[in-house]
Amino acid sequence: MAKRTIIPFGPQHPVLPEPVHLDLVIEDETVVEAIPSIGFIHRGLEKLVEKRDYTQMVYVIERICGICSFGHGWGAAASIEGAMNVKVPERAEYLRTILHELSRLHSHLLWLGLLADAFGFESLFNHCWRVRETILDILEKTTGGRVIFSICKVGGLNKDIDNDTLKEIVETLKELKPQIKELTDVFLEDDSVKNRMVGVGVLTKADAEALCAVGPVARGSGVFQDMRMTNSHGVYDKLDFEPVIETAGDCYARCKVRIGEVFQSIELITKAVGQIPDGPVSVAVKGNVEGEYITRMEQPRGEAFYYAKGANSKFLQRMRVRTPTNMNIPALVKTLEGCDLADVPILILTIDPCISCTER
Amino acid sequence: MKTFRIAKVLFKSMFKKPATLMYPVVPREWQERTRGSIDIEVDKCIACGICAKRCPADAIEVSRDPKQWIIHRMQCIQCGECVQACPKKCLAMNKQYTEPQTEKVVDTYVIPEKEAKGSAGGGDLTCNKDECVYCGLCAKACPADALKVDRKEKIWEVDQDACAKCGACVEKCPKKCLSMGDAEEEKKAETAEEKSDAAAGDADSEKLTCNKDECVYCGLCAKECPVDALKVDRKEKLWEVDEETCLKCGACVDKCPKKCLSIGAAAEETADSNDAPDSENPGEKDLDAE
Repeated sequence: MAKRTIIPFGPQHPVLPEPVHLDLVIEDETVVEAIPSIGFIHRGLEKLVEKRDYTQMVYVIERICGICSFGHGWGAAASIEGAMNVKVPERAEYLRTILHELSRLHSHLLWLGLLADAFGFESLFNHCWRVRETILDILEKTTGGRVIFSICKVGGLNKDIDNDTLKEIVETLKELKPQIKELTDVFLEDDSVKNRMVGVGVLTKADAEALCAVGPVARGSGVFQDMRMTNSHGVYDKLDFEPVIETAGDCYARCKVRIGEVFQSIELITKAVGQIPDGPVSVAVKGNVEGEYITRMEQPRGEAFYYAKGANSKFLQRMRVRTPTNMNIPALVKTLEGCDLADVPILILTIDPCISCTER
Repeated sequence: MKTFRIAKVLFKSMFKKPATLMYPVVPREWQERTRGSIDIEVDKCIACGICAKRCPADAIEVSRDPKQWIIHRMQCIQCGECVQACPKKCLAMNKQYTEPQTEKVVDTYVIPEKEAKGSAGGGDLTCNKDECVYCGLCAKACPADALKVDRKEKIWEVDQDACAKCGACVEKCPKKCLSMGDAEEEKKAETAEEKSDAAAGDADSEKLTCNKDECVYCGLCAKECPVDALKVDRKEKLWEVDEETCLKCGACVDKCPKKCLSIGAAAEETADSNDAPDSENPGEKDLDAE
């Protein structure tokens, strides 16, 4: 009978980009149980709705996360627009979709780098981030910021992106595609990488559904779920969107889903730029927020949920954001049971944890 | 054997320039839209304080006595909300970030005193109720929400404390009945108020017409109309005005890109005739203004 030991993992750990704490109950080298705890970076952004009016709130919600910031800004703006019955111009919806897919690209490339770093493949990590830099340059050129864009507002967008710039973006992505392919081939075909990922941390479809996993984690286990299918936001219905699904449920499958989505995002942006109509990018919004509205949106990490409630005032009564990592923590705990201690960093990374999002 | 898949990438990058720059020896190139820091042209600033109200991070302070514009550089999140809100367009987004600091920096700009100017001289905002059609466009334009206009009750009210005296309403008013000036004009406005009933009678004799020769049925007039009295259909080539709801405010006339709309006396009604001469229209408008 092996002796049980508890190893504290995090909140500061070389593999973790953000603070989450896990108490790992170990028998020999095997994890028997994992007890997660969060609460190290709670900032109380939701409470700020009482002090910031709804137009200012979009800039606040955007700062929930540094990686999916555009999606958060869009989710907040879409919820408030829904509550106020504002119809956003079509060009703005197209541009929002393009910017959202660009953020997905940079988020997934960042994640691929972090994953390479987690299994000790430093040079692959550097190359992933080198490619990501091009996307950040595009974002800076179009929105003015590399991380926080401040372009989304209630009623549309602050700035238009002209058609020439959009074509340039498509050209840049076209050049980038073979470079990304070279790197993703390493993830999918290199033996040393495969040894660390194939068959590790299997999450079955039944478990993924029972534990309400979202995003690439659920899709890696064969769950057919993507909020972009629901047409609740953006113009995905006009872009023939089909989610990327893998059935194996292990780390390799989750990695494959994200790699598939990188190329899919490039396709979606190309298609959207081909179809984008001319016109205004915003409508003037005046008045108070009355009523409530829910938006569900597919972030790079999975489904995010926004709830806005107003009581005929400039200030919202309640703004609730439920982020994808929050939903994926139970799935993480499940996959950690019975895994090797050495695989814990990779397992934590394959849910793409964003603790800042979770704690807001 | 697929073990050295990255060797190709690594080999290539051995002969390439590094992806990183030797900053600060090689300066960073900013993009046209980079949001670096907020700049102010103090000469244009009227200390209205709208930027301070709009700021989500409470980074801006505006004081009227003494006239100062203060920004807390460390609090500013460079969202650009103040640049958009500024009615005088004296704020701008600078591409360059502020210098790195070890202390919280507060920049104070002293706003120079201006000489009183006629229309937007910083006096109280007044409305010549003789001319006013209570269209509400001024209230819509007001960045500080200081105006209250009720069409049915014929109410035009300004909250002088909230009013930033920015002049946005004066510019927007289609009847040019708003002014920001001295006591003399205020008196004029008061006397005009008594006459307002008579003025309403005058307005009834006017009529909005469209020269359908020129009209391209773009629908901009209908969008601008504060009372939704216009109906434009591009496919059907339809332009209709609901005479009862139309305020004759002239907002559509100002907006029309083809200059084919005009407000004239009912006698000169040319709504559905194609032979209305173009030259007549501006003339009619001038007469009405006087």
